[in-house]
Amino acid sequence: MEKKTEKTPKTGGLYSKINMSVKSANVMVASLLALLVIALIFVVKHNGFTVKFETDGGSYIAPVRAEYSDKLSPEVPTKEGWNFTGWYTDRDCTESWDSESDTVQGSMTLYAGWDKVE
Amino acid sequence: MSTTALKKRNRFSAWIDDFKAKSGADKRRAITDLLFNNAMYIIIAIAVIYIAIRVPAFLKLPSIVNIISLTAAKLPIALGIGGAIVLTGTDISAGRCVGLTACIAASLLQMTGYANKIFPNLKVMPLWVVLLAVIAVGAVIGFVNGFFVAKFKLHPFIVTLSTQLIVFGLVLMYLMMGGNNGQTLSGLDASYTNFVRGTLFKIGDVAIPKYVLYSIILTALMWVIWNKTKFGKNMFAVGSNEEAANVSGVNVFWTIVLVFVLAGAMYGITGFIEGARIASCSANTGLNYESDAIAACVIGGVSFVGGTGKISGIVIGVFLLQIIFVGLNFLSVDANMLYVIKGLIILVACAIDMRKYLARK
Amino acid sequence: MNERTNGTNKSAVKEKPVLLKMENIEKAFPGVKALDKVNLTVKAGTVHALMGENGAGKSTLMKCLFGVYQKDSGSIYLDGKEINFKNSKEALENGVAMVHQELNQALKRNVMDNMWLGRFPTVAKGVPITSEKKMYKATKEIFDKLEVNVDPKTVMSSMSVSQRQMVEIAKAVSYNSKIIVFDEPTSSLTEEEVEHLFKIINMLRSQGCGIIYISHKMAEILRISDEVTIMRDGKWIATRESEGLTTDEIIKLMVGRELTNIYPPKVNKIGDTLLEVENLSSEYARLENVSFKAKKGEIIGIAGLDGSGRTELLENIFGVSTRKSGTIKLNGKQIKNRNPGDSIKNGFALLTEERRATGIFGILNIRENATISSLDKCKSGPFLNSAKLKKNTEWCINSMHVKTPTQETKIRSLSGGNQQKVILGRWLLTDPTVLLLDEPTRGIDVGAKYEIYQLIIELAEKGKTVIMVSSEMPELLGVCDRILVMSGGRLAGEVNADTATQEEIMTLAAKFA
Repeated sequence: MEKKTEKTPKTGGLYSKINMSVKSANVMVASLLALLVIALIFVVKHNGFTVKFETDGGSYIAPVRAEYSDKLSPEVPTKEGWNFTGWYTDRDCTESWDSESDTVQGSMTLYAGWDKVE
Repeated sequence: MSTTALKKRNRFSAWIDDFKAKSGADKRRAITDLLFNNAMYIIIAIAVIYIAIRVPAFLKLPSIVNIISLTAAKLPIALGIGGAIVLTGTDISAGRCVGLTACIAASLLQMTGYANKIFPNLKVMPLWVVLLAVIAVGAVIGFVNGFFVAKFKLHPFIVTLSTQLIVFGLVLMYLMMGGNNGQTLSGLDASYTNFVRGTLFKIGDVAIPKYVLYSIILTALMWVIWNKTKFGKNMFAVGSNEEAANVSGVNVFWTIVLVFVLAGAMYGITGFIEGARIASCSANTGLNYESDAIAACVIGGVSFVGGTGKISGIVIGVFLLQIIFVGLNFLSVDANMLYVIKGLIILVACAIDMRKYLARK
Repeated sequence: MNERTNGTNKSAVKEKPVLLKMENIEKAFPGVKALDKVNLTVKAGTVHALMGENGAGKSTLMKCLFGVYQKDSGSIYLDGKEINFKNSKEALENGVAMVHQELNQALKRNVMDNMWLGRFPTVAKGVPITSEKKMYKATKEIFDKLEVNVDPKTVMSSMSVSQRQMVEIAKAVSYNSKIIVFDEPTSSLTEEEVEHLFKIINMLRSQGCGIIYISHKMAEILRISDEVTIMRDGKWIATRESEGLTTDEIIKLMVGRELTNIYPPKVNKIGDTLLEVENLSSEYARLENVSFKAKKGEIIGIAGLDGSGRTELLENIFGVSTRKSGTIKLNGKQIKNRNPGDSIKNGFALLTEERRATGIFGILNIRENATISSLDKCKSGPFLNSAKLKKNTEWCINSMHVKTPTQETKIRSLSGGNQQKVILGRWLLTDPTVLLLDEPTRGIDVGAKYEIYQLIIELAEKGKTVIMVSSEMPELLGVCDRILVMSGGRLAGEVNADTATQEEIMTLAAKFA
């Protein structure tokens, strides 16, 4: 007896318990879509990547804003007792940043490379 | 090929005929249905046109190859999650699972003599051994997911939420092993990076990486599994109506477990590819990959209603998402803001999916 | 038994005032005209039966009345005023109530909570504290009036279906409803409970309520109703006074043609013993020590009330539910049937009772629905062969006379009868020797029922053993060779279908209940 009334057809998966008219679903989808479009417009309006510079104890260099495919010509940092060897995209200083050919692809941090003064 | 094209055209013209035969109110309803059900595609199309006008380089060859490569890289994980969604479930452990397998693959394949090697005395292992190992790791995690979902009828969300945490813990512990101290793994052996990132062929002077090929092979494999095997049919049956599947003699337990194991294996392969693709693996590798994959599946028509979905849909879904992400990158939209967009896309895709279900009911 | 328990003067039906009038109601869904200029006039103090095959549009009409669907055109008048309810709550507040076929109640809450849900009486006006006392008193009053013997503090889940239905009726009464719709109210009631229900309906009628009574059971309709409206294919066919109306006439109006034979001729020949079931008991369900034997080519019916263990018996044999003890022998050899897969290998098939819940895969197409249990037969190597899948589905559609445009049609777009045929076909593709059919004709048109009976007898003729459960006794008597009667989870007895009467079966069914 119990089984009969409690066994509801298992169709609809995650949506099986939804109780909503198509009309209100339309309103919901439409407002979500509007929200998405607004968000897209917002992010496009407020675009720009941030490039930070880590000098590992050298002089401070302020982050700059850049756009996609921009080239960078950052200032040269100084550090007492060290010679600046260039900017690198990784902390280990293996991938160097060529300010002639490399372009900005996204927000990133550049690391300064140093050589000890002999 | 021509017959499917013909079928498509027939379907289109049938829709037009059907539409013409309708009365005013029905016509309006048909148009609202069309607009709402395809709203995501429409928005993406408008966005692509807008971006292409503002940044013409977006639709140039290098950019398109880049989108295709990214699609290929994200595809296997979506193919895995797709199965879980067909069962009306989901799998949020996917990203962490990719992270773990990527770290394992990278750690076993660091070049000899590299200073920061995690296992300094380890020789470079044969690629196939590592590949099998990470597939096995993924499959084991998948098995745990599947077992708890199938046996205890826990919601996949809860189960994979737990395994996701456990796996993350394992990644952190793994990265502390040897002399690594939790640092990023890099300095990979050339054989590994070549196998994954090496050039498959060139269009002009734009190289297509090898992992595109692997992705195509995996897609074909999954298509065969979904459409041409008993397991695939059983999967759709269980997703559509679990009780009916049980009475029809489908082994529901093993079907669910296998779906998750298969998904886990896919994450393993993704991890293997991802390890070499991004070339520096940390605990953050794979973070949030599952959200992209779930969004791609839902956009591609794998419905949370259960029992519906196509491999081709998943491929299209992943592709469309990558177009949007790459496009926004071209517009210099910061990655932080992209998260908001991603979240909204998932919500909208699910709302449209739900609306389709309601309209059909 | 009195044919008519109330003292309504039949000739007076015509003169009674009109309470509800639905005129030229039209409703279309994409591709289907569900209602086509339907009229329904319900008079105060009468019971108006609404009849028609499944899909005739009865429930759509009611949904238009309650505002679940918005009608496309036509008008509804209640007491002469035009109405257009937006939802069932608004309908309820305006005195139009429905007692549903499937009871939607909060099972973990008690009777009062369910009765006053959404309008709990408060201690005093403006004080947002509910008054248990007032609630109890009001509930008790209505129960006394309806002669319902239930404590308002009983938790719903501990009550029987009929008691819960009474609560639903009491709820309708508590809203001072003028129109009460009963949708298949007797489908899960015992004879005695039906009597009580009829008594209440008669009471409501004498108080001037208009009652719309939807049912498939002819005998009930003829007994309780004053007027009958018959619908077919979304159209209004006829409204007649019940007096003088016969079952045959109603069927003729419903089907649109004359059904000369309700049951096909029986041509099956009974052979040797095939299946022996001994002392079968279930671990969690109500089933104790059931033993029986079935022969080749035999059609065995299983009768009994709902909850008497009929479904549990089939499920236990098929390995869906856990077995506590007992043995099953096929051709003298003991078999296990641990799970459905195992049972299918042993040549069993189970057509389940709730087609939508445990039968069809609604979202999948006919081919996928038909072949799911016999995929092993459609393989070449490790892969499935589309040609074989298509061929098997083709066979299934042809031999079951499934009416469908293509194999790729989604099964949920078929009618109940055609869905049932596809599932029957699914099982025949596994080439079973024992078919367990649970309510094979539930929710199926009269015409399609005949085809199902024919199929069952054909199968038996081919030497298969058919065991079928049914709540419709005439069906069991018409189709089966032997009928086992279940009661309270035990086997109460066995009758010969050729000689037994419904009364005999009912007596047995009440043995352990």
